[in-house]
Amino acid sequence: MAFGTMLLQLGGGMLVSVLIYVSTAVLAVPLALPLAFARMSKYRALRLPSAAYISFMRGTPLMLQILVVYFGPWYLLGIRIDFSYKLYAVIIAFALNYAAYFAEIYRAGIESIPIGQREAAQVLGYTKAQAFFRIVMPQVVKRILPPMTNEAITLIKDTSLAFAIGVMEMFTYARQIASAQKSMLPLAAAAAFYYIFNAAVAWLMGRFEKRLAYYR
Amino acid sequence: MAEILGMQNIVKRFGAREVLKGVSLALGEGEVVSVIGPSGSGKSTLLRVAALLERAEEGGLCYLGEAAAANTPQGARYAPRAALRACTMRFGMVFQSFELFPHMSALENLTNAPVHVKKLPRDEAEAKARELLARVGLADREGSYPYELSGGEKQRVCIARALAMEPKMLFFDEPTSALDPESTRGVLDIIRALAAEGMTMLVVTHEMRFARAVADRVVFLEDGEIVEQGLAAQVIDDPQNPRTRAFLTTGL
Repeated sequence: MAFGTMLLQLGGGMLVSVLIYVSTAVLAVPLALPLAFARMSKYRALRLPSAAYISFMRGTPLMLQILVVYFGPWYLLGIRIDFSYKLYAVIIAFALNYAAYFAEIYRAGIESIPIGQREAAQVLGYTKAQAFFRIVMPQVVKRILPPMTNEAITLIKDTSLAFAIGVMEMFTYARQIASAQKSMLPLAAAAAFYYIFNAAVAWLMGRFEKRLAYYR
Repeated sequence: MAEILGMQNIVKRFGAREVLKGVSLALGEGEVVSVIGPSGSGKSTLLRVAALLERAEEGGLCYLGEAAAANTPQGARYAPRAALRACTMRFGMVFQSFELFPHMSALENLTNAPVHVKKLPRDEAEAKARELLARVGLADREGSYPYELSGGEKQRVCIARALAMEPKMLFFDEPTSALDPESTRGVLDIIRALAAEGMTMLVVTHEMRFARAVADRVVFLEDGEIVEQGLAAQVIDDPQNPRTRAFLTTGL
Protein backbone atom coordinates (compact mmCIF):
# COMPACT_ATOMS: atom_id res chain seq x y z
CA MET A 1 0.00 0.00 0.00
CA ALA A 2 1.27 3.40 -0.93
CA PHE A 3 2.17 5.72 1.92
CA GLY A 4 -0.36 8.27 0.70
CA THR A 5 -3.20 5.71 0.64
CA MET A 6 -2.36 4.67 4.17
CA LEU A 7 -2.41 8.25 5.39
CA LEU A 8 -5.74 8.75 3.65
CA GLN A 9 -7.25 5.73 5.41
CA LEU A 10 -5.85 6.80 8.76
CA GLY A 11 -7.10 10.30 8.11
CA GLY A 12 -10.59 8.93 7.53
CA GLY A 13 -10.35 7.05 10.82
CA MET A 14 -9.08 10.18 12.50
CA LEU A 15 -12.30 11.94 11.48
CA VAL A 16 -14.26 9.32 13.44
CA SER A 17 -11.92 9.75 16.42
CA VAL A 18 -12.35 13.51 16.30
CA LEU A 19 -16.12 13.08 16.01
CA ILE A 20 -16.12 10.94 19.17
CA TYR A 21 -13.82 13.47 20.82
CA VAL A 22 -15.90 16.54 20.04
CA SER A 23 -19.23 14.85 20.83
CA THR A 24 -17.91 13.63 24.17
CA ALA A 25 -16.61 17.06 25.10
CA VAL A 26 -19.83 18.82 24.05
CA LEU A 27 -21.96 16.38 26.07
CA ALA A 28 -19.77 15.71 29.11
CA VAL A 29 -18.75 19.31 29.92
CA PRO A 30 -22.34 20.45 30.67
CA LEU A 31 -23.50 17.06 31.99
CA ALA A 32 -20.83 17.15 34.69
CA LEU A 33 -22.19 20.38 36.18
CA PRO A 34 -25.46 19.03 37.64
CA LEU A 35 -23.51 15.95 38.66
CA ALA A 36 -21.03 18.09 40.60
CA PHE A 37 -23.87 20.06 42.21
CA ALA A 38 -25.62 16.87 43.25
CA ARG A 39 -22.34 15.59 44.67
CA MET A 40 -22.05 18.75 46.83
CA SER A 41 -25.72 18.92 47.76
CA LYS A 42 -26.77 19.07 51.38
CA TYR A 43 -29.47 16.51 50.53
CA ARG A 44 -28.41 12.88 50.84
CA ALA A 45 -30.95 11.86 48.21
CA LEU A 46 -28.91 13.83 45.66
CA ARG A 47 -25.45 13.42 47.14
CA LEU A 48 -25.38 9.64 47.49
CA PRO A 49 -26.56 8.67 43.99
CA SER A 50 -24.14 11.14 42.48
CA ALA A 51 -21.25 9.84 44.60
CA ALA A 52 -22.19 6.25 43.70
CA TYR A 53 -22.36 7.11 40.00
CA ILE A 54 -18.97 8.81 40.04
CA SER A 55 -17.46 5.95 42.01
CA PHE A 56 -18.82 3.37 39.55
CA MET A 57 -17.83 5.24 36.39
CA ARG A 58 -14.33 5.84 37.66
CA GLY A 59 -13.99 2.39 39.18
CA THR A 60 -14.77 0.28 36.11
CA PRO A 61 -13.01 0.18 32.73
CA LEU A 62 -14.30 2.46 30.00
CA MET A 63 -14.16 -0.46 27.56
CA LEU A 64 -16.58 -2.42 29.73
CA GLN A 65 -18.87 0.61 29.87
CA ILE A 66 -18.85 0.86 26.08
CA LEU A 67 -19.90 -2.80 25.86
CA VAL A 68 -22.68 -2.28 28.41
CA VAL A 69 -24.04 0.77 26.61
CA TYR A 70 -23.90 -1.03 23.25
CA PHE A 71 -25.27 -4.45 24.23
CA GLY A 72 -27.31 -3.39 27.26
CA PRO A 73 -30.46 -2.42 25.35
CA TRP A 74 -30.61 -5.92 23.81
CA TYR A 75 -29.64 -7.99 26.84
CA LEU A 76 -31.52 -5.99 29.41
CA LEU A 77 -34.52 -4.67 27.49
CA GLY A 78 -34.75 -6.91 24.47
CA ILE A 79 -34.45 -3.96 22.09
CA ARG A 80 -32.96 -4.97 18.74
CA ILE A 81 -29.72 -3.10 18.20
CA ASP A 82 -29.36 -1.23 14.96
CA PHE A 83 -25.91 -1.27 13.43
CA SER A 84 -25.85 2.53 13.26
CA TYR A 85 -26.21 2.60 17.06
CA LYS A 86 -22.54 1.62 17.37
CA LEU A 87 -21.11 5.09 17.08
CA TYR A 88 -23.81 6.52 19.31
CA ALA A 89 -23.09 3.87 21.92
CA VAL A 90 -19.44 4.84 21.95
CA ILE A 91 -20.28 8.53 22.30
CA ILE A 92 -22.83 7.90 25.06
CA ALA A 93 -20.40 5.72 27.01
CA PHE A 94 -17.61 8.27 26.65
CA ALA A 95 -19.85 11.16 27.71
CA LEU A 96 -21.15 9.27 30.75
CA ASN A 97 -17.64 8.24 31.76
CA TYR A 98 -15.94 11.60 31.25
CA ALA A 99 -18.77 13.47 32.98
CA ALA A 100 -17.85 11.59 36.17
CA TYR A 101 -14.24 12.76 35.98
CA PHE A 102 -15.24 16.31 35.00
CA ALA A 103 -17.71 16.47 37.89
CA GLU A 104 -14.95 15.81 40.38
CA ILE A 105 -12.75 18.45 38.77
CA TYR A 106 -15.62 20.95 38.91
CA ARG A 107 -16.25 20.07 42.54
CA ALA A 108 -12.62 20.64 43.46
CA GLY A 109 -12.72 23.96 41.59
CA ILE A 110 -15.95 25.16 43.16
CA GLU A 111 -14.91 24.15 46.67
CA SER A 112 -11.60 25.98 46.26
CA ILE A 113 -13.37 29.35 45.94
CA PRO A 114 -13.54 30.98 49.39
CA ILE A 115 -17.04 30.99 50.86
CA GLY A 116 -16.58 34.72 51.47
CA GLN A 117 -16.90 35.34 47.73
CA ARG A 118 -20.44 33.95 47.75
CA GLU A 119 -21.24 35.81 50.95
CA ALA A 120 -20.04 39.09 49.47
CA ALA A 121 -22.24 38.42 46.44
CA GLN A 122 -25.22 37.56 48.63
CA VAL A 123 -24.90 40.78 50.62
CA LEU A 124 -24.74 42.74 47.35
CA GLY A 125 -28.10 41.25 46.44
CA TYR A 126 -27.08 38.64 43.88
CA THR A 127 -29.36 35.62 43.69
CA LYS A 128 -27.67 32.25 44.23
CA ALA A 129 -27.66 31.62 40.47
CA GLN A 130 -26.22 35.06 39.73
CA ALA A 131 -23.55 34.59 42.38
CA PHE A 132 -22.57 31.28 40.85
CA PHE A 133 -22.50 32.33 37.21
CA ARG A 134 -21.05 35.83 37.68
CA ILE A 135 -18.73 35.43 40.64
CA VAL A 136 -17.85 31.78 41.28
CA MET A 137 -17.80 30.17 37.85
CA PRO A 138 -15.39 32.55 36.12
CA GLN A 139 -12.89 31.87 38.91
CA VAL A 140 -13.53 28.13 38.76
CA VAL A 141 -12.85 28.02 35.01
CA LYS A 142 -9.43 29.55 35.52
CA ARG A 143 -8.52 27.09 38.26
CA ILE A 144 -9.68 23.93 36.54
CA LEU A 145 -8.05 24.55 33.17
CA PRO A 146 -4.86 22.57 33.94
CA PRO A 147 -6.69 19.40 35.09
CA MET A 148 -9.18 19.79 32.24
CA THR A 149 -6.28 19.94 29.80
CA ASN A 150 -5.12 16.60 31.21
CA GLU A 151 -8.52 15.09 30.53
CA ALA A 152 -8.74 16.65 27.08
CA ILE A 153 -5.45 14.97 26.17
CA THR A 154 -6.40 11.59 27.63
CA LEU A 155 -9.70 11.67 25.79
CA ILE A 156 -8.32 11.54 22.24
CA LYS A 157 -6.10 8.63 23.21
CA ASP A 158 -9.09 6.86 24.78
CA THR A 159 -11.05 7.06 21.52
CA SER A 160 -9.04 4.02 20.39
CA LEU A 161 -11.21 1.97 22.80
CA ALA A 162 -14.08 2.30 20.33
CA PHE A 163 -12.58 -0.69 18.49
CA ALA A 164 -14.13 -2.84 21.26
CA ILE A 165 -17.47 -2.77 19.42
CA GLY A 166 -15.96 -2.42 15.98
CA VAL A 167 -16.19 1.30 15.41
CA MET A 168 -13.65 2.08 12.73
CA GLU A 169 -11.71 4.89 14.29
CA MET A 170 -8.16 5.77 13.47
CA PHE A 171 -6.32 3.26 15.62
CA THR A 172 -8.46 0.36 14.35
CA TYR A 173 -7.30 1.20 10.81
CA ALA A 174 -3.72 1.54 11.96
CA ARG A 175 -3.69 -1.94 13.51
CA GLN A 176 -5.38 -3.50 10.48
CA ILE A 177 -2.96 -1.98 8.03
CA ALA A 178 -0.01 -2.78 10.28
CA SER A 179 -0.89 -6.47 10.48
CA ALA A 180 -1.75 -6.71 6.78
CA GLN A 181 1.48 -5.01 5.73
CA LYS A 182 3.63 -6.47 8.47
CA SER A 183 4.91 -2.96 9.06
CA MET A 184 5.40 -0.63 11.99
CA LEU A 185 4.87 2.37 9.76
CA PRO A 186 1.06 2.66 10.25
CA LEU A 187 1.55 2.60 14.01
CA ALA A 188 4.16 5.34 13.79
CA ALA A 189 1.77 7.34 11.63
CA ALA A 190 -1.00 6.79 14.19
CA ALA A 191 1.29 8.02 16.94
CA ALA A 192 2.02 11.11 14.87
CA PHE A 193 -1.70 11.73 14.36
CA TYR A 194 -2.39 11.54 18.10
CA TYR A 195 0.61 13.62 18.94
CA ILE A 196 -0.20 16.39 16.51
CA PHE A 197 -3.82 16.48 17.64
CA ASN A 198 -2.81 16.68 21.28
CA ALA A 199 -0.19 19.31 20.60
CA ALA A 200 -2.98 21.39 19.07
CA VAL A 201 -5.25 20.77 22.07
CA ALA A 202 -2.50 21.67 24.53
CA TRP A 203 -1.69 24.81 22.55
CA LEU A 204 -5.32 25.85 22.50
CA MET A 205 -5.74 25.29 26.23
CA GLY A 206 -2.51 27.19 26.84
CA ARG A 207 -3.92 30.14 24.91
CA PHE A 208 -7.07 29.93 26.98
CA GLU A 209 -5.04 29.94 30.21
CA LYS A 210 -3.11 32.98 29.01
CA ARG A 211 -6.34 34.80 28.27
CA LEU A 212 -7.37 34.26 31.88
CA ALA A 213 -3.98 35.24 33.27
CA TYR A 214 -5.02 38.90 33.58
CA TYR A 215 -5.89 38.34 37.24
CA ARG A 216 -4.71 36.26 40.13
CA MET B 1 -35.42 58.71 65.12
CA ALA B 2 -36.42 55.98 62.69
CA GLU B 3 -35.20 52.52 63.49
CA ILE B 4 -32.91 51.22 60.76
CA LEU B 5 -31.97 47.90 62.32
CA GLY B 6 -33.76 46.04 65.05
CA MET B 7 -32.51 42.81 66.58
CA GLN B 8 -34.55 41.26 69.37
CA ASN B 9 -33.39 38.49 71.67
CA ILE B 10 -31.15 36.86 69.09
CA VAL B 11 -30.09 33.34 70.01
CA LYS B 12 -27.61 31.61 67.75
CA ARG B 13 -26.31 28.09 68.30
CA PHE B 14 -23.65 26.15 66.49
CA GLY B 15 -24.59 22.61 67.43
CA ALA B 16 -24.91 22.55 71.20
CA ARG B 17 -22.79 25.67 71.68
CA GLU B 18 -24.79 28.83 72.24
CA VAL B 19 -22.85 31.66 70.65
CA LEU B 20 -25.43 34.40 71.12
CA LYS B 21 -27.62 34.18 74.19
CA GLY B 22 -30.45 36.56 73.53
CA VAL B 23 -28.87 39.75 72.23
CA SER B 24 -31.00 42.78 71.46
CA LEU B 25 -29.70 45.73 69.56
CA ALA B 26 -31.33 48.65 67.77
CA LEU B 27 -29.77 51.20 65.48
CA GLY B 28 -31.47 54.48 64.78
CA GLU B 29 -30.95 56.50 61.63
CA GLY B 30 -27.45 57.91 61.41
CA GLU B 31 -26.29 56.05 64.48
CA VAL B 32 -22.85 54.50 64.63
CA VAL B 33 -22.56 51.57 67.00
CA SER B 34 -19.33 49.79 67.72
CA VAL B 35 -19.31 46.23 69.00
CA ILE B 36 -16.25 45.34 71.03
CA GLY B 37 -15.30 42.29 73.03
CA PRO B 38 -12.78 39.47 73.23
CA SER B 39 -12.29 36.90 70.47
CA GLY B 40 -14.99 34.27 70.54
CA SER B 41 -17.42 36.57 72.32
CA GLY B 42 -19.83 36.29 69.39
CA LYS B 43 -19.40 39.74 67.89
CA SER B 44 -18.71 38.53 64.37
CA THR B 45 -21.61 36.10 64.63
CA LEU B 46 -23.86 38.95 65.74
CA LEU B 47 -22.85 40.93 62.67
CA ARG B 48 -23.33 37.91 60.41
CA VAL B 49 -26.83 37.34 61.80
CA ALA B 50 -27.58 41.01 61.16
CA ALA B 51 -26.26 40.65 57.60
CA LEU B 52 -28.45 37.55 57.04
CA LEU B 53 -25.36 35.39 56.50
CA GLU B 54 -26.27 33.26 59.53
CA ARG B 55 -29.73 32.28 60.67
CA ALA B 56 -30.62 32.82 64.29
CA GLU B 57 -32.46 30.03 66.07
CA GLU B 58 -34.49 32.46 68.09
CA GLY B 59 -35.27 36.14 67.94
CA GLY B 60 -36.55 38.80 65.61
CA LEU B 61 -34.89 40.91 62.94
CA CYS B 62 -36.13 43.93 61.08
CA TYR B 63 -34.73 46.47 58.67
CA LEU B 64 -36.39 49.87 58.33
CA GLY B 65 -39.52 48.39 59.85
CA GLU B 66 -39.57 45.45 57.43
CA ALA B 67 -39.41 42.13 59.30
CA ALA B 68 -36.85 39.60 58.08
CA ALA B 69 -37.42 37.24 60.97
CA ALA B 70 -40.36 37.15 63.34
CA ASN B 71 -39.74 36.37 66.99
CA THR B 72 -42.18 33.53 67.66
CA PRO B 73 -42.42 31.10 70.59
CA GLN B 74 -41.33 28.38 68.12
CA GLY B 75 -38.16 30.31 67.35
CA ALA B 76 -37.10 32.79 64.71
CA ARG B 77 -39.34 32.55 61.66
CA TYR B 78 -37.56 33.93 58.63
CA ALA B 79 -39.36 35.56 55.73
CA PRO B 80 -39.31 33.92 52.27
CA ARG B 81 -36.16 34.25 50.20
CA ALA B 82 -37.42 37.12 48.05
CA ALA B 83 -38.31 39.20 51.10
CA LEU B 84 -34.90 38.49 52.64
CA ARG B 85 -33.24 39.64 49.45
CA ALA B 86 -35.21 42.85 49.62
CA CYS B 87 -33.93 43.34 53.19
CA THR B 88 -30.39 42.56 52.02
CA MET B 89 -30.57 45.44 49.57
CA ARG B 90 -30.92 47.83 52.50
CA PHE B 91 -27.49 47.18 53.93
CA GLY B 92 -23.95 46.76 52.71
CA MET B 93 -21.13 44.86 54.29
CA VAL B 94 -17.37 45.24 54.49
CA PHE B 95 -15.40 42.10 55.31
CA GLN B 96 -12.16 41.66 57.19
CA SER B 97 -10.88 39.62 54.23
CA PHE B 98 -12.15 42.19 51.68
CA GLU B 99 -13.71 39.62 49.33
CA LEU B 100 -13.32 41.76 46.27
CA PHE B 101 -14.04 39.81 43.09
CA PRO B 102 -10.55 38.98 41.77
CA HIS B 103 -11.61 38.58 38.14
CA MET B 104 -12.99 42.09 37.96
CA SER B 105 -11.23 45.45 37.87
CA ALA B 106 -11.88 47.90 40.69
CA LEU B 107 -14.46 49.64 38.50
CA GLU B 108 -16.24 46.39 37.59
CA ASN B 109 -16.30 45.41 41.26
CA LEU B 110 -18.36 48.55 41.79
CA THR B 111 -20.60 48.28 38.72
CA ASN B 112 -21.38 44.56 38.50
CA ALA B 113 -24.01 44.42 41.22
CA PRO B 114 -25.71 47.72 40.30
CA VAL B 115 -25.92 46.59 36.66
CA HIS B 116 -27.00 42.99 37.22
CA VAL B 117 -28.88 43.19 40.51
CA LYS B 118 -30.39 46.67 40.32
CA LYS B 119 -30.54 46.70 36.50
CA LEU B 120 -28.97 50.15 36.42
CA PRO B 121 -27.81 51.27 32.93
CA ARG B 122 -24.08 50.60 32.60
CA ASP B 123 -23.03 54.20 31.92
CA GLU B 124 -24.96 55.38 34.94
CA ALA B 125 -23.39 52.68 37.12
CA GLU B 126 -19.92 53.58 35.84
CA ALA B 127 -20.37 57.28 36.48
CA LYS B 128 -21.47 56.51 40.02
CA ALA B 129 -18.60 54.03 40.49
CA ARG B 130 -16.01 56.60 39.38
CA GLU B 131 -17.47 59.11 41.79
CA LEU B 132 -17.19 56.58 44.63
CA LEU B 133 -13.65 55.55 43.72
CA ALA B 134 -12.67 59.21 43.76
CA ARG B 135 -14.27 59.55 47.14
CA VAL B 136 -12.14 56.77 48.62
CA GLY B 137 -9.07 58.26 46.99
CA LEU B 138 -8.66 55.68 44.22
CA ALA B 139 -9.79 57.58 41.14
CA ASP B 140 -6.64 56.54 39.29
CA ARG B 141 -6.99 52.84 40.08
CA GLU B 142 -10.28 51.99 38.36
CA GLY B 143 -8.57 49.63 35.92
CA SER B 144 -6.55 47.82 38.58
CA TYR B 145 -7.37 44.27 39.57
CA PRO B 146 -7.58 43.38 43.26
CA TYR B 147 -4.21 41.57 43.20
CA GLU B 148 -2.61 44.83 42.12
CA LEU B 149 -3.99 46.74 45.10
CA SER B 150 -2.57 46.97 48.61
CA GLY B 151 -4.63 45.78 51.57
CA GLY B 152 -5.75 49.27 52.44
CA GLU B 153 -6.69 50.02 48.84
CA LYS B 154 -8.65 46.78 48.64
CA GLN B 155 -10.61 47.69 51.72
CA ARG B 156 -11.35 51.15 50.33
CA VAL B 157 -12.64 49.59 47.10
CA CYS B 158 -14.69 47.22 49.23
CA ILE B 159 -16.34 50.13 51.04
CA ALA B 160 -16.99 51.84 47.70
CA ARG B 161 -18.48 48.60 46.33
CA ALA B 162 -20.90 48.44 49.25
CA LEU B 163 -21.82 52.12 48.76
CA ALA B 164 -22.47 51.57 45.06
CA MET B 165 -25.66 49.72 46.01
CA GLU B 166 -26.82 52.77 47.96
CA PRO B 167 -27.49 50.98 51.23
CA LYS B 168 -29.24 52.54 54.19
CA MET B 169 -26.68 51.10 56.58
CA LEU B 170 -23.26 49.50 56.56
CA PHE B 171 -21.88 46.58 58.52
CA PHE B 172 -18.15 46.35 59.12
CA ASP B 173 -16.59 43.13 60.31
CA GLU B 174 -13.19 44.06 61.74
CA PRO B 175 -12.42 46.14 58.65
CA THR B 176 -8.87 46.99 59.66
CA SER B 177 -7.69 43.77 61.32
CA ALA B 178 -5.72 42.70 58.25
CA LEU B 179 -4.15 46.12 57.66
CA ASP B 180 -0.98 47.93 58.70
CA PRO B 181 -1.34 51.09 60.82
CA GLU B 182 -1.13 53.49 57.91
CA SER B 183 -3.74 51.67 55.80
CA THR B 184 -5.86 51.39 58.91
CA ARG B 185 -5.85 55.14 59.25
CA GLY B 186 -6.95 55.57 55.64
CA VAL B 187 -9.86 53.17 56.06
CA LEU B 188 -10.92 54.63 59.39
CA ASP B 189 -10.87 58.14 57.91
CA ILE B 190 -13.36 56.98 55.29
CA ILE B 191 -15.61 55.43 57.93
CA ARG B 192 -15.37 58.63 59.94
CA ALA B 193 -16.39 60.68 56.89
CA LEU B 194 -19.36 58.36 56.33
CA ALA B 195 -20.38 58.84 59.95
CA ALA B 196 -20.22 62.60 59.49
CA GLU B 197 -22.55 62.29 56.50
CA GLY B 198 -25.06 60.43 58.62
CA MET B 199 -24.56 56.84 57.45
CA THR B 200 -25.92 54.28 59.90
CA MET B 201 -23.15 51.84 60.76
CA LEU B 202 -22.53 48.79 62.89
CA VAL B 203 -18.81 48.24 63.33
CA VAL B 204 -17.14 45.25 64.92
CA THR B 205 -13.67 46.44 65.76
CA HIS B 206 -10.59 46.12 67.92
CA GLU B 207 -9.69 49.76 67.41
CA MET B 208 -10.72 51.24 70.75
CA ARG B 209 -9.51 54.73 69.95
CA PHE B 210 -11.50 54.68 66.75
CA ALA B 211 -14.59 53.32 68.48
CA ARG B 212 -14.31 56.05 71.06
CA ALA B 213 -13.86 58.79 68.50
CA VAL B 214 -16.46 57.75 65.92
CA ALA B 215 -19.09 55.55 67.53
CA ASP B 216 -22.11 57.07 69.22
CA ARG B 217 -22.57 53.94 71.26
CA VAL B 218 -20.32 51.09 72.22
CA VAL B 219 -21.61 47.62 72.96
CA PHE B 220 -19.38 45.29 74.93
CA LEU B 221 -20.12 41.68 74.12
CA GLU B 222 -18.77 38.76 76.11
CA ASP B 223 -19.67 35.11 75.93
CA GLY B 224 -22.69 35.79 73.74
CA GLU B 225 -24.19 38.47 75.93
CA ILE B 226 -24.16 42.23 76.02
CA VAL B 227 -22.36 42.94 79.26
CA GLU B 228 -22.30 46.69 78.99
CA GLN B 229 -23.34 49.36 76.56
CA GLY B 230 -23.57 53.09 76.49
CA LEU B 231 -22.02 56.23 75.10
CA ALA B 232 -18.69 55.40 73.52
CA ALA B 233 -16.58 57.69 75.70
CA GLN B 234 -18.33 56.50 78.83
CA VAL B 235 -17.93 52.76 78.20
CA ILE B 236 -14.34 53.01 77.04
CA ASP B 237 -13.03 55.61 79.50
CA ASP B 238 -15.06 54.61 82.52
CA PRO B 239 -16.40 51.05 82.21
CA GLN B 240 -18.78 50.08 84.99
CA ASN B 241 -18.73 46.34 84.54
CA PRO B 242 -15.67 44.52 85.92
CA ARG B 243 -15.45 42.32 82.81
CA THR B 244 -15.45 45.32 80.50
CA ARG B 245 -12.82 46.93 82.69
CA ALA B 246 -10.65 43.83 82.58
CA PHE B 247 -10.95 43.61 78.80
CA LEU B 248 -10.15 47.25 78.23
CA THR B 249 -7.11 47.30 80.49
CA THR B 250 -5.56 44.19 78.98
CA GLY B 251 -6.38 45.59 75.55
CA LEU B 252 -4.34 48.72 76.07
